[in-house]
Amino acid sequence: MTDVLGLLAYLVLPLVGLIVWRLDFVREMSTGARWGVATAAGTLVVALLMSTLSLLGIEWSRTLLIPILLAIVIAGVVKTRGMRWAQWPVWSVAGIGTAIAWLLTVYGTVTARSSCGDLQFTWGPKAIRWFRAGGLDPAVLHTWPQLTVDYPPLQTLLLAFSNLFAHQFPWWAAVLAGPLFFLATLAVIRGFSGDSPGTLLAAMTLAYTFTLSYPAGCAEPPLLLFEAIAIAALTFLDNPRAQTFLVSLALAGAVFTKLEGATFAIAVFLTILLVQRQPKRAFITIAPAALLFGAWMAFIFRNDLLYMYGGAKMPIYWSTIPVVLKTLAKVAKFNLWWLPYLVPIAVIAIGNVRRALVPISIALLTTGATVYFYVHYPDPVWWIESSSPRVILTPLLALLIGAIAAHRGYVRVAPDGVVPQGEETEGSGRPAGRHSGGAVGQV
Amino acid sequence: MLVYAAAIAFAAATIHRFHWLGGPYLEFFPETIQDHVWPARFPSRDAIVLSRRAEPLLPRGAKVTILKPSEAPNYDQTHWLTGLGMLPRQHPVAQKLEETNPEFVIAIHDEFVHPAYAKVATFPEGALYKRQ
Repeated sequence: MTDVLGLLAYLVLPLVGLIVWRLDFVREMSTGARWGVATAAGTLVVALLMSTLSLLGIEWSRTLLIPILLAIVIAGVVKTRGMRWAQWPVWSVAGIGTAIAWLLTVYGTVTARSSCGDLQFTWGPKAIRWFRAGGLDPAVLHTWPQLTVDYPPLQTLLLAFSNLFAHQFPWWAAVLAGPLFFLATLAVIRGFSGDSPGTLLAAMTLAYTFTLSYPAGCAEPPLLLFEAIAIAALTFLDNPRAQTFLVSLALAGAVFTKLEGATFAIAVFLTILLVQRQPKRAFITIAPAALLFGAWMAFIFRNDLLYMYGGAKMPIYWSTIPVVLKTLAKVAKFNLWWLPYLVPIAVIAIGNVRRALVPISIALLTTGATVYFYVHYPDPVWWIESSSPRVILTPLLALLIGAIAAHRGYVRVAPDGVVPQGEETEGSGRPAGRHSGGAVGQV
Repeated sequence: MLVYAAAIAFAAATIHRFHWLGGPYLEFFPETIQDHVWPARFPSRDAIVLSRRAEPLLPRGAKVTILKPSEAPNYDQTHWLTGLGMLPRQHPVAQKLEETNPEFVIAIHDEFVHPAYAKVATFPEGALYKRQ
């Protein structure tokens, strides 16, 4: 029962996120994309609500949180009336394959084959102690400084939210959140790109790499969802308002989820600035993330909790670069001759590289940030081997989205949904025509 | 074609990996979330089970640590951190016994030989010791 209630907390997240369905460009998306975006939005809303309550000194409780969240859900639900409900095309070969990939991930999770060790050692204990303290309590972090005290709080807040629903800590629900976020990630990739075979490649590649990176219960599943939204929005969407909103939402979520989320946000910012050459959009999209990061750092400094972020002041050991590169290359093999990376790279190489410039740029920048991060340790091998299998999922995700962009005859659809005469729409295999949802609505 | 071939290869590699981690293959929701993360059983898996077994015997707020005696003096930190999550009503502390002076020690697998502690309960995965 504990785990059922705990899982229910995660199922509430997309309902809370229905609030973003009030936006016309979200309403016009495919069903899968809408749910994926709603999951991300709901996740961020819940984390921000719980943080705000703590800052105001208000103790978390079901009697307080549920009415607030219910009001948000109702505000979103009223706008779903009369909405178009497209069907997820599971009956295509690619659709069935994608479903199998997801089910393999579920199997690995429910048989305890994908559980993240850090859930047991760090995320879980921190969430439990916050739950028992009734808030984001600095005293807990001072009592147990081993709990990576200055790490961004979103994942811990989600676990505490789940604990709040179940009263006891629901360990199985915590790991099952992994497949739920993975499903939302796949829905976003499929919905934004309209490409079923490309989604299949992403699904199977990630399902396999998950078996070696053990993400279930850690922060990567929500992080990858936020990252997929940002990369796919920049790659596949043409509506400027949709792009700006979705990337802003995703970057704010990423920064609030993991330390690497901050480097991802910078990579996206630089990509918009240098590859897309849209400085105004670059600054607008990173503003909410910067604000959240600033608020979190203010909390850290005010409570004297600087730890991981203090690593920025550590010396750089340039001499370790060969070791870092060699160890990262070893990890990136994923026991399969680097195929998870080589396949999307090959698809990009034989496709249209120009269409994949945004994801390629993000993949390169995040890889560079990973190397930069690890050269701050005089003996980084253990650190790389234990943490990088999850960290390098970000550039992998970017490459997979890049492969989708490059391998199909993608036609950018104008915001009014008019596809140029005589051309086919991306991924649909259908003839071009007017579609109110633009590219993302053609699912 | 490349995409479908790669997808089949990754699916096969995923199933191979699950097989490599060992059976039983149809045991859903096993005793702990760490039961099959590696072919051999992790001591941290037993730290979870031991915490559950010892919890009813531990007073609320008691200082407790979890360690694997054979690892002394460089105990694996993850064991007592596991206790931090599994024993929410107690006060788990690091395994530096002289500094943290825990009232109880949960020992994984091996006998914990220490003049200040005596065994109070034995479990299949280890034992519980109390400071005298």
